[in-house]
This record gives sequence, structure tokens and C-alpha cells, in this order.
Amino acid sequence: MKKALVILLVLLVAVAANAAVKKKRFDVGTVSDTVTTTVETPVVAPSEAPKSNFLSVISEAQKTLREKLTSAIAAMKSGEWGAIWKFLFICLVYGMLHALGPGHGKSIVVGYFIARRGRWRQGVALGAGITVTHTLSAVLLLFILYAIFKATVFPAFETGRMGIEKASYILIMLTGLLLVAIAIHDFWKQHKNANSAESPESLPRTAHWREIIGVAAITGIVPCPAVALIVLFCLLNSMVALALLGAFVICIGMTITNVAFGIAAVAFRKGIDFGGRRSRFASIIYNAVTLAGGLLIFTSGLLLFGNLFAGRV
Amino acid sequence: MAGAHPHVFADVTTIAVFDNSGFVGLKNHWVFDEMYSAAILASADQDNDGKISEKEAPSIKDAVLGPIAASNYYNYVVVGTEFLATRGVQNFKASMKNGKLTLDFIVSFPIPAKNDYTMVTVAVSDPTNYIQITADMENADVEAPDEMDVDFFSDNLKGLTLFRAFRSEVQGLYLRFKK
Repeated sequence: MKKALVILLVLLVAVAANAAVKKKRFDVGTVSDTVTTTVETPVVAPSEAPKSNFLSVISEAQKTLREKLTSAIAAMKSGEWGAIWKFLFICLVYGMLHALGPGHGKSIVVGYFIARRGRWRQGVALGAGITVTHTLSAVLLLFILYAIFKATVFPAFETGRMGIEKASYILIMLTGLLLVAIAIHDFWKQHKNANSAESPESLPRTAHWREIIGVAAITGIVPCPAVALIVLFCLLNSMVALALLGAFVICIGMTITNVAFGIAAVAFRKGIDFGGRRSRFASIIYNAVTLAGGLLIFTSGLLLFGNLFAGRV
Repeated sequence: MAGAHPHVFADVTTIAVFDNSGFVGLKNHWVFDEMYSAAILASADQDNDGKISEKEAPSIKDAVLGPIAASNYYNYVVVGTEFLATRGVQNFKASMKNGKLTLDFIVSFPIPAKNDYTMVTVAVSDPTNYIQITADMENADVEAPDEMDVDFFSDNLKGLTLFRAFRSEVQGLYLRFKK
């Protein structure tokens, strides 16, 4: 009799302990519903797994590549210098993927060459210019701060980067506004001239090297923390030459991506100019496109700036 | 959308913690990638022993959690139609495991339990994607005293408008509890 009671008690305790916390589906309804008191629904099959989008695919790929980079560096540290080819190849691919993500100047390059009729080599130049500046500023900032802080450099780098980032995004917005202002000014001048006796053929603005250098500078000035981390990791492992070589190859990878976008933008503008050249609305089309390019740059700067404050509660 | 592309990678697991008064907060377990881990360890390891002592932990807390305090340390807790603001971080511990920086801390969100069910939705994610957080919500767990009645499950956040800014593959933890 006593044994039966003990067993019953143990069973009761087990059931009670189990009853308190359960992993079980319940009816959620919408978030704005008042708290429901429905009876627990039986376990339903979990909803379809969400399909991963483009951004998450390239993010996961970068995570994997970074792990491979770490192991390649470890291999070289223990003397297996054959791993350097794997290291360099991964750096190249990492750079190409990294630049596909938001925030590396693609929309600025595209915006500029929609706002300006440009030559192919100028598209290449701006894409390369932004990327080289982006990489160089990361390497320079890191090396300078490393001289001061040595191994404790990273938090200082991040503080510097965040300050430069805010300034850069504001400058990008201003550049966009400037391009829009120039476009409006052009339109106004053409409108005035059209009413006078002679109306010169309205030529769309062409890309100028000074503008290209300026845009490359303010966009690329933000140091890339991904490059900085890889360089720092090599420095911490006392491999300075490898750090610089890695940064160089990552830069090449990022440049490939950015230049591709630059060339595409030049081509897009050429297409618009070619298609609209004989149209009565040629000048309107040119002005509209020039304006659109400026707006694109302004909006990119605005979104980038706004995103700095995203996620705050 | 236009934000920072991932520069840091973290694997995160969570445990929802309750006491006799109700929901206390979320126990966070973060494991970072080796590269970021090396950079942070180097910045904090004053005695250069490759380990994080109790003296060295506060500077790691400042370096890693400081910048994200305004974002609730990327813990998002929804009751009804509002995101709760955290009361802070407790029980912070930092260590290096296999070359990876590992952080354990509780993000405090006190929610008193009522006689009726309170529904809570939780997600851990960086909406700017500066940190690529892989939160394993499927293996999330709950620590609660016997008197607290808690049900929970994990699922994607699709359909919850408050989480619309989050990436589609972010999983949420759905909890309901009462006295």
C-alpha cells in the first residue's frame, strides 16, 4: 500500500513539474489582439520556413569565408605557406561579395552616372576610386591607431569609424542636393534661352574628373571595418606583409563589383541619351534623368544616415 | 534597408527567465567569430594571458555592449503593440572558448504575471545587420518556478507588422504566461 502511494506521489510530482512549463503551440492571433484565453490548441506543424533572400545568402557566405580565412591564417602561422593561395582567393571573393551588400557606394556610382553623361573609363574610375579610398582609409586609420594603441586598437577604430560615417553620409546628402540644384538651374537656364531668339541645343552635363574625385573622396572616406578586422588579425599574428597583401586583394574584389555597377550606370545613361536624342522632349528627358541621379544620391545618403539610428527602442 | 553589411558574426541562444513575480528577462549567450574575438580580446587582455579575468570583463562589456545599449542589446520584446525598453544588463560574464569570444548576460525586462495570460514575442536580431546574428530560437528554453504557468514555441515573425523591418529568416520566440 505504501509503495503504491509513493509511486502515485512521484507520478503526481512528475506531472505537476511537467505542467508548469510546456513547449507547445498556442493561438497567437495578431499582436494587437487582447490577450486570448483560448484553450491550448494541439501542436500544429510549424509554418513554412521563410525563404532566405539575396542579402542573407551573401551574409552567410561571408560568415563562412571569414572562418576559412581564419583557418588559412592559422595554417600560415604554423608554417604552411602553401595556404597563401587559398587565403588570397578567399580575400578576392570576400571582397566581391562584401561590396554587393548595402553601404559600399554602388548607389552613389549609379546615381552619378545617371546624373552625368560619362565615358566608360570614368565609370571604371569612380567605381575604383570609391573602393580604393574605402580600403585605404581603413588600412591607414588602423595603422595610425595601432601605432598609438597597439593591440587595444579596435574600440578606438570603431569610434573613429562611427564619426567618419556620420560625416560622410551628411556629405553624400549634400552632394545629392547640389546635383539636384544644378539640374534645376540648368533647366531654368534652358527655359529662359528657349524663349529668346536663339535656343542652343541642350547638351546634358558630362562627367568631370573633379566631380568624380570629389564623389569618390566623400563616399570612400568611411573606413571599412571588415578590411580593418582582417588586417588587424594578421597584425596580431605578427604578419604585417600578409595584412597589406590581404587588404590589397580584398580591395580588388570590391572594385570588381563597384566597377561593374559603374559601367552598368554609364551604359544605362548612354541608352537613355541615345533613345531620346531625336525626341522633341530630348532636353526634358536629359533634365529629368540628371535630376533623378541627384535624387538617388541624396536618398542613398539619407537612408544610410537614418539607418545609423535603426533598431533603437 | 541601406545599412551596414555584416562586419561581425554572432551565434546567439536565449533562455527566457521567470521568477515568482513574472517575466524577469532574457539570458543571452553570444559566441562571436574568431576575427572579431581576437580584436576584442587584444583590446582587453591587460595581462596578456589569452583569458578574460573578472577585472578585464568590464572593458569588454563597454566595447561590445556599450554601442548597442540604445538598441536594447538587439533583444526585442513585444507585449501587445509595444517594444519594451530594457532595464539594463545583469550578470555579465565574458570568456574565450576555442578562440571565440563568448558572452553571457541577462537583458532585463520585468513583466509582472497576471491571473490571465500575458503574451510576449521575442526576437534577437540586428536590424542594421552590422552584426550578423544567428539566433537559434528553436532551441530556446525557459527557466521558471513551478508556480508560473508558461507555454512557448518558436516560429518565424511573418505577419507581425511590428517586426516588418527584420530580415525574413529571423525567428521569434512566442511566450505566454500566467500565475
